[in-house]
Amino acid sequence: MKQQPYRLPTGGRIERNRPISFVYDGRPYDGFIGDTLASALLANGVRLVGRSFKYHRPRGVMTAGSNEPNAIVQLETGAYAEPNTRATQVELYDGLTAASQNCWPSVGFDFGAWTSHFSDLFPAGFYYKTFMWPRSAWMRYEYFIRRMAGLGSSPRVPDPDRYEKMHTHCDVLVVGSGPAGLSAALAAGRAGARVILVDEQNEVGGSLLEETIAIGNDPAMSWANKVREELIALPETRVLLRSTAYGYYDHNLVMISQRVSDHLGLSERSTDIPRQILWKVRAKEVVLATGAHERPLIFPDNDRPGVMLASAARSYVNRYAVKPGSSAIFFTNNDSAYKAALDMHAAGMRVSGIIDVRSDISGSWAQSVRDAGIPIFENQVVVATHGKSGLKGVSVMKLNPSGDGVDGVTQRVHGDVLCMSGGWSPVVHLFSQSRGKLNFDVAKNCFVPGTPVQASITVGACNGSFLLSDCLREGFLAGTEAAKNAGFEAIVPDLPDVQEPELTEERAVWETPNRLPSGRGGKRFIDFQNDVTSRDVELAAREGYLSVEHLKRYTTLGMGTDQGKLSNVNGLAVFSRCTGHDIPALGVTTFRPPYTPVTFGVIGGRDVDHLFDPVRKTPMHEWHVSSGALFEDVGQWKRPHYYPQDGEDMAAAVKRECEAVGSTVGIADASTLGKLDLRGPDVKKLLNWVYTNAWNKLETDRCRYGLMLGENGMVFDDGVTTKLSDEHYLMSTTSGGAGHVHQWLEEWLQCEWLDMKVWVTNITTQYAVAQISGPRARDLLAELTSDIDVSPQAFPFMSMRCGTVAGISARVFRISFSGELSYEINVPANKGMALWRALMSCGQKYNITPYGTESMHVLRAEKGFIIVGEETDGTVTPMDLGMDWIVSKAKKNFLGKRSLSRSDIIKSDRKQLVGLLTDNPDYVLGVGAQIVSQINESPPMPMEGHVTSSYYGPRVGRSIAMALLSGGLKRQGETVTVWDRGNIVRAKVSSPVFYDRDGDRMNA
Amino acid sequence: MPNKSVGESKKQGALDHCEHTGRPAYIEVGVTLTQMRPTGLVNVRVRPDNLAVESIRNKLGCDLPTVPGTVESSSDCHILWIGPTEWLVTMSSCEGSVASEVLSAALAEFHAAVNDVSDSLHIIRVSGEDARLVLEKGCSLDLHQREFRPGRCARSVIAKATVLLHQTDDAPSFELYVDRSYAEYLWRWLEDAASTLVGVKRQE
Repeated sequence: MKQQPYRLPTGGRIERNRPISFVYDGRPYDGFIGDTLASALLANGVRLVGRSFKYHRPRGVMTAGSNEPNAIVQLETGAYAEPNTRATQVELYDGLTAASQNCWPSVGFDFGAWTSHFSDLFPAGFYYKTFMWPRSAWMRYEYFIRRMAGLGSSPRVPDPDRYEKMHTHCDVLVVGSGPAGLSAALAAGRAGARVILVDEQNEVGGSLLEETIAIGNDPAMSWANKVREELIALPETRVLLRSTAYGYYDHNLVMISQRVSDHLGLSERSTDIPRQILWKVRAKEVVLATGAHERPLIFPDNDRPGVMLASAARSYVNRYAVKPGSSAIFFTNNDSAYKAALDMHAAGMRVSGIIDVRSDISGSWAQSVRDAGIPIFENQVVVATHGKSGLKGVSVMKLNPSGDGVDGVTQRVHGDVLCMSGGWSPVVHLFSQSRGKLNFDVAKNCFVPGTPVQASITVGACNGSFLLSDCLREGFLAGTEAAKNAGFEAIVPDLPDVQEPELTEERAVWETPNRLPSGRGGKRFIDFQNDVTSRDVELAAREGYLSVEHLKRYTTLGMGTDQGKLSNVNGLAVFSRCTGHDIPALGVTTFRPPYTPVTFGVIGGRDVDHLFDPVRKTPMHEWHVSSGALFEDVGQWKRPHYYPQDGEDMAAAVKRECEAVGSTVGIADASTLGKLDLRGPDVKKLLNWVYTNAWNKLETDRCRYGLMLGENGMVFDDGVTTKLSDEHYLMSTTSGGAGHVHQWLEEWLQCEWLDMKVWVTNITTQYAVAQISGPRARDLLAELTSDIDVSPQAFPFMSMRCGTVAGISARVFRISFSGELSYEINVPANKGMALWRALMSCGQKYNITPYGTESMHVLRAEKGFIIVGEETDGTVTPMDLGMDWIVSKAKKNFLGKRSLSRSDIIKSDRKQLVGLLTDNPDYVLGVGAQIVSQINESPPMPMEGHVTSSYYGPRVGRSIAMALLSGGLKRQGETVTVWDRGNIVRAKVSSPVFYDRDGDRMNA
Repeated sequence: MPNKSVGESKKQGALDHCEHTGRPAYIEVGVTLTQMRPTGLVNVRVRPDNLAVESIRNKLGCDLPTVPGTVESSSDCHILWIGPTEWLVTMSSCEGSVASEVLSAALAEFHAAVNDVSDSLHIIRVSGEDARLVLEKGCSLDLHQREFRPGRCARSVIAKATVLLHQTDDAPSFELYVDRSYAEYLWRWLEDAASTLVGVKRQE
C-alpha cells in the first residue's frame, strides 16, 4: 500500500478496509472503495487532471459532482472505453484505468498550450470568422480542429455490455435524496403512496454526506440512513441510487439513467447484470429536490489548478477524508465558505484566510471563524493568482469605497488551494425542462422556480432554501401534499430539531473588480469547460448581440458537456453588466435534457442484434429458407428476393424465374399484401370517395383496380378491391401500406364521415396468399380444386371464386401483376404452408418455379405496371403516370380531386411516366440515373427526369426502364441522354408498356 | 384426384419452430412463458346498443363489455374490449370459422362486421411473480395491482410489437394477443427480457 499523502488519517465515508488500486495516465495509484476518481487523485496529490478545451491551460478538479467542468477523463480502453466522463462522478473500483483528455503528448507538457500565448488571435467566434475562406477547405480545417479539441475517443469495437429499459409508474417521484428529498419521500411513503426516490450518487444524503450539523439527536447521515431504511421497508417504495433523472417531459414523464454496474471492476461485471437501465417513470406527482450548485467567482487566472469551489473542498475533507491541498485560502461573497473553512481547519489543514468582498461581517459563522483564529480579509478581492501548473498563492486588494474598483497596495496570501464561493444557483434544470418559468430572486441572487406547469413541487435548495431546517420542513410538507394530490391520506411528519446558525446576507458580486481591465492581467474564466472568458462575453455585447441564446451560440458559453452548470448565471451577470439590461430582463437560455450525458448504449437498450426491429415472416417463410431463397426487406417483412440455384447470380436466377412464368408456371408468396375487410351499406360510397375511379357498377365476385390519392392529389396507395356481396368488400393494399391505408380510412370514417356505415377490419395476416402465374396456372389450379370451375368463361380475369384448393377453404382471385394468366389463392394463414407444399408438389410436372420480389418487379415492369414508392414518391399524380383513364370524370368528388385542377398539377412540363429503351439493348440503366438536357464535364447538368425502375426484361429480350421525364407523355420517340454513374447513355422514349400491350396473355 | 386433400390437417403457427428455445432461467426468476393454442378468435365491430348486446348474450351466454379496458367471461368464452365499437371474442370450444358463424348469426340483423382472426393472432402467456417486471421492460402501461387487475385488458405496445394484453389471474398471468407476423419477435423479446431480471428488481 503506497502512501496517499493528502489522505486524512480518520473520518470520511470511504471504506478504509477496502483499499484498491487504479491507473491514471499510465501510473498506478491507490484509493479506497467509496472514493471517486477525483477524490482518489487528490488524495494522491494529483492536481493537474486535464487541459482546457481551447487554450489547453492546465486544469485541476474544481467540483465534487455533476457540475465538473475540468476533470473530464477518458475511462478504460478498447470495448469499454468511454470518453468525457467526470472524474468527480466516477466511482473508484479496483483496476480502474483512466487518462486525461485534450492534451498531447502529456497533461504535464501539452504542445497545444501554445494557443494560450496567442489567445488574442482566438476571440469568440474565431472559427466562424477564420475558417470561412476558402469554403471548400473547411473539411481539411475541421480535421485539425477536431484533433485540437480533443473530445476523447470513442470505442471502435462493439459494446460488450447489456443495457435495459424499464417503464414504471408511481404516485410520487422524488428527485434528489438530500434532506428535502428524503423528507418528501418519507412523508409520501408513510401515506402508502407508490414512491420512487432517485439520486445520482451512490448513497442517499445529498448535502448531508458532508454535513456536520446534527438532525435531532443524530449526526445528519444517521438520520438519512434511518429514513432510507424506513423507505426501503415500505412495500411500495423504491430507492434508485446511481440514477440520474436527466429529462422531464410532458405528462410527468421523467427519464432516469441508472448506472447499475459502472462502479464495479470490469472483471466483476457480468452480462447477466445490465450495465445501465433507462427508466421511463410516469408519476402522478413529482417532487424536485435537486439541490443547488455553488457558483465560481470571476477573477484573473481563476482556473489555476488548486482553485476549486468551497463546497467541493468541504466535500473532499468531510466525505472523502482528503485534503485538497496543504493550506487553503477562501474567496467568497457569502457564508458558505466559512462553513468549509471551519471544517478544513478542524481537519488539521492550514487556513491562510478568508477573503470576503463584504464588509462589517458579523454573524455566528464569522464569529466561529474568528474564534478559530482564521483571519478574515474584509472588503477585499483576489486580483491575481500565482503558480505555474498549480496554485502557490494569491494577491489581494481592498475594494474602493464605491465597490467597483480596487485601492491601495496588493497583499500576497499564500496557499495551494483557493476555495471560492460566489453564492448558489438552484438546480432548476428539470423544473425548466418541464416548461416552468424561472424568477430571479434578487435577495438570494439566483434564479428560483416560478409556478410549475406540471404536477410538481420544488423543495429545499432547488427552491432557494439553503438552511437545513427549511429543507426538512419543505420536504415534509411537499411529500404530504404530493401524496394527498395523488389520492392518499397523509400527515406531515414531526420536524426534527436542527440547531444551525443563521446565514448573513450575500453580496451580489460576479466578476470581482480588478486593477486592470478585462483582457489584461490574466484570463477571467466564466465557462471553464469551453474556455469562455468575461472578455468574450464583452466582445459579444460590443458586436451587438442582445439575446442570451445568441450569446450562448456565439461564444459557446454553456455549450460544453457540463451544459454550463457553473457558468450560465455568471455569464448572464457579465452580459447584464455589458448590455445594461438587468438579469431578469435578459432571461436564461433554455435548459435541455439530458442533465448529464447519457450513454448511447442505454438509449438503445435491448433494441440491438436480433431484437433491433421486428422481422415479420409469412406463413411460408421456413419453406423459402430451406429452398435457399435470399430475402429482401419490405418494411418489416422479409420477402423472398430470388431463389438462386447452383451458384446462380441474381441476374441468372431472375432470368430463369421470369422465363418460367412466361412459359409454364411460377409461384410467389404474396401473403404480405394488405387486406382490409369492408362491411356495411355504405362501402360503395366509401370506395367512391377514396379511389379515383367509379365503383357503382362493380358486380359481386368481380375485382377492380384503384388508385388512392392524398388530399394533395398525389398517389399514395393502389390495389385491387373485390366485391364479395352488396355490403361486403375486400380491399387489398401494397405490402407496406396496409396499416397506413387502414388508418386513413378510419380517420375519415371517425372524424369526417360519421354518418357513413362502414366497418374496416385489417385481416392482412389472417390469410396466406400463393400467387401462381403463367400459361399453365389454370391447369395447376384445376388439378387442386373440384368445386371451382376454372374455365375462362366461368372464371374470367378480374373475378373471384370461393371454394377449396388442396382441400383447404380458399378465396381465389384471378388478377395479374405479372401480365400472365394468374391466380392469387388465399387460405387461412395456418394452412398457408400446406397449400404451398401442395402447389409445389402438384406443379412439379409443369416445372413450377418459385419466384421472388425481384422477378415480380421485372415482370410487372415489362407490363408497365407501377409500384407505389418506385414510380411514385409522393409528388406524382395519376395524370403524371399517364393513368387519366382511372380518374373518373363523372364522379362529383373524391379525395384529392380538387388538387388535380391546381395550376401546377395541370402544367404540361411536369415529370411524367415514360418507358426508356437504351440504344444498346443490353445496357441496364441504374435506378435514379438522371436524364439531362446537356452534358457537362461533370455534374451539375440541367436535369429533366430520372429513371424509376430499370431491368433486363427476359420476356421482351432486352433492357427496359421506366422514368419520370419532364413533359414525357408528349415526347414518345424522342431520344434522350442519361447520365448514369459517369456513363453517358442514349435512350429512346417509349410507352412504359413493353410486353403484351393488348393484355391477351393475362386475359387468356 | 389424390392431391385434393393434401395438408388438410397440417396447420402451422408462427411460433412452431420457437417451441424449444426456453431456458430454465425463467423458473428461477419467477416467470413462465407459454405459447397458447388459440381456438376460435373473432373480431367483432358493432354499435353496442341494447339489442346487439342482448343478441350476443343470448347466443354466447356472455355480455359484451362496454366499460373500456374490461373483459367479460363465461365458461368457454372471453369478450375483450378493444374500442367503443370493437371486441375480440375468444371461444375455447370451437374453431374460428364456427365461432364467426355463431357471431354472424347473432348479429345478422345489425350493421356489424364479424371476422375470423384465429389464424392472424397468437397468444403468449406470461405468468408468475415477476411477470410484471418482464412486461414493464417494454410496455408503458401501469400494470401495478392497484391499477390493473384480472379481468382487465388493454391494447398497447410491448417493445415494438402491438399487443392486446389480458390479465387473467393474480399470479399474475397476462395473455398477450399478438399478430402472427410479430409473434416470433415478441417471443424472442420476452425470452430475452426474462433472462435477466437482476438489476430491475427492487433496489438494495
